Amino acid sequence: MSAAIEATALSKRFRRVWALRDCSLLVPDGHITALVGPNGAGKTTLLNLAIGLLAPSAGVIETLGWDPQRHPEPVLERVGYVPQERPLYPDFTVGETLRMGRALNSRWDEAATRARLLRHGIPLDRRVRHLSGGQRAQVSLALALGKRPELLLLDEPAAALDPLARRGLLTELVETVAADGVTVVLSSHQISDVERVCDHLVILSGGRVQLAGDIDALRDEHRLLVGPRMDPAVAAGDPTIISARHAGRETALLVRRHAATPPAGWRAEPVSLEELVLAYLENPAAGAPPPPTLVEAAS
Amino acid sequence: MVWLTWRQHRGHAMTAGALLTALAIGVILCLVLLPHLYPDGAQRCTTSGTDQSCVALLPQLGSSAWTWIVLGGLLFPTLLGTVGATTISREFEGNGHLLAWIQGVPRRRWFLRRALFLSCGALAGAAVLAAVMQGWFAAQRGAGDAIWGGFDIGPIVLFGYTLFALALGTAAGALFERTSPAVALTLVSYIAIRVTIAVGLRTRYLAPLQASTVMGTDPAGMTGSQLPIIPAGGWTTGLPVDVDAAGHTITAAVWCASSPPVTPGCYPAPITLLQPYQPASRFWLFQGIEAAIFVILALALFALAYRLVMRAR
Repeated sequence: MSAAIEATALSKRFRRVWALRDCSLLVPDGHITALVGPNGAGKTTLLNLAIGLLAPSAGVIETLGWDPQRHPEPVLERVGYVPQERPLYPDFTVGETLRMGRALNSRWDEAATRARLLRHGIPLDRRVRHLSGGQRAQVSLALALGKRPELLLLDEPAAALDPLARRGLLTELVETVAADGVTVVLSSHQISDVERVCDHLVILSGGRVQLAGDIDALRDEHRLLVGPRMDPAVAAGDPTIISARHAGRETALLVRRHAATPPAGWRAEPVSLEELVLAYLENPAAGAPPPPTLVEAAS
Repeated sequence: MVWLTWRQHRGHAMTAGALLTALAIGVILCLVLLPHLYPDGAQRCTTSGTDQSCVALLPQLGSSAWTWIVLGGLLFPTLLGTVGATTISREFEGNGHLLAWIQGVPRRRWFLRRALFLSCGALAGAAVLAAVMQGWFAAQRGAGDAIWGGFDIGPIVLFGYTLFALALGTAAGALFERTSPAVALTLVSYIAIRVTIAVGLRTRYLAPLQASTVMGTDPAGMTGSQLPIIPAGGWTTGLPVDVDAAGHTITAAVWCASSPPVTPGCYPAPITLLQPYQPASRFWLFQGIEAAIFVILALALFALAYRLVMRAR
């Protein structure tokens, strides 16, 4: 399996603040990968580095096999990106926005882009500033998809959309991936969205990769162990314990690389993706994935 | 890229086009009207005083057209400075750079093509303006306009100023990433640099020639009537200087230790009064030198803007 994005010891510093630090990860080809993490975890920075909007402070990033700084053309031609800001020229009409896309992208697919906007009932002669938030999101996505991208980067694609529009957008994404084999990386706060469309997960925290892998494999690797209350200090010392909750006479542990059968007096329960992600986000020190990450897990 | 740049700057293009068209129409009207009003040429109209309607109307027409031409010549580069100041900064203000730099055209090409397209547009506009102004000058030549007096709206420097203002604005926009401070810095520094070069540097492109009068020792010879006369069309570039026979400058102290009053014999004779000037024949050379200076400054500013854009995030 080849990597759509491969980062090795990637770091990005803004003045004195490290947005990403010593970050190594592989985003596999042909999958929908979720980039999850708290605000300021470095998700947007990672996406900006992947398309070359930013240059790394240290380390290497390769997108579709190219260094986006040294070879911007092949990367920009093949990567569609919808930034969180959904930048569009407000005084352009939708039609002019498409014309811009056609003028700037050699692989532009005019017919499919027009059809997509028509399907969403977005008139081409309307100025972008008069579009609703959902329509703007659709135009941004249409512009990114119009490039016929091999890799689609979406920064918070569902933010500021109503639930219906969000579901529509995500459904469309899945269909696109299925039809064209586009690799997608999306950052999101909405774990339910991630669960619905993504098959890969990268948790970023404090500028580092905390956990990365195939979602099913990760869920398989983790269990919620519920048993008699134990000493919190003991739980804190065990690296396989990602989080521990002590309530009443019970202790619930979210553990990784658990034994096949739980210890006597404990029962093992499968974890939901939300429980898994929250456990890691609550414990930034937990995780630190073993070196061979996504490629191994995905193959 | 050409279409995108045009689409984003068509307002500016229309403003510049309207300005140039108005000027051109005004000048053409004057050129057509003047010969009608006075078929024997403008020269005689202003001197003979026989045709009263011509005498009254012609200078009026001429001076108002002249005002508009001077204004156009001075304002056109600042308009291009504003274009430059908005072309990059407006992208940053509306996050348009995030839109433009993720398309299939790399940032380097995005900047270079934009700068090239705007430069071509600016120079084309300058060419139209220069043609209009030259048309006017040609029609007015009989009236004896001082050629050096029109240096700042000369047809060659106009290209240098226009390109320079555009580059200055582009660099300021890339520096501030905001339109208002970029426009302000562009206008202020454009005027400052223009004035500095016009006042401080222009007279020194070539060593001035000297017109001289020998004054003798008679204090009566120091009257104004004895000032050197520079050739027609020359540009007086400084105050006259007194030198002795050996060519040394005579300062006030040497002039006369016993002044006042200045008496015969209190300074070495004979005194020569030297008046530095630039001859009319150097006008076009100086236009070329000054245009070259501004083109080089413009290229340096474009290079700075390029660096800033490539490093922006």
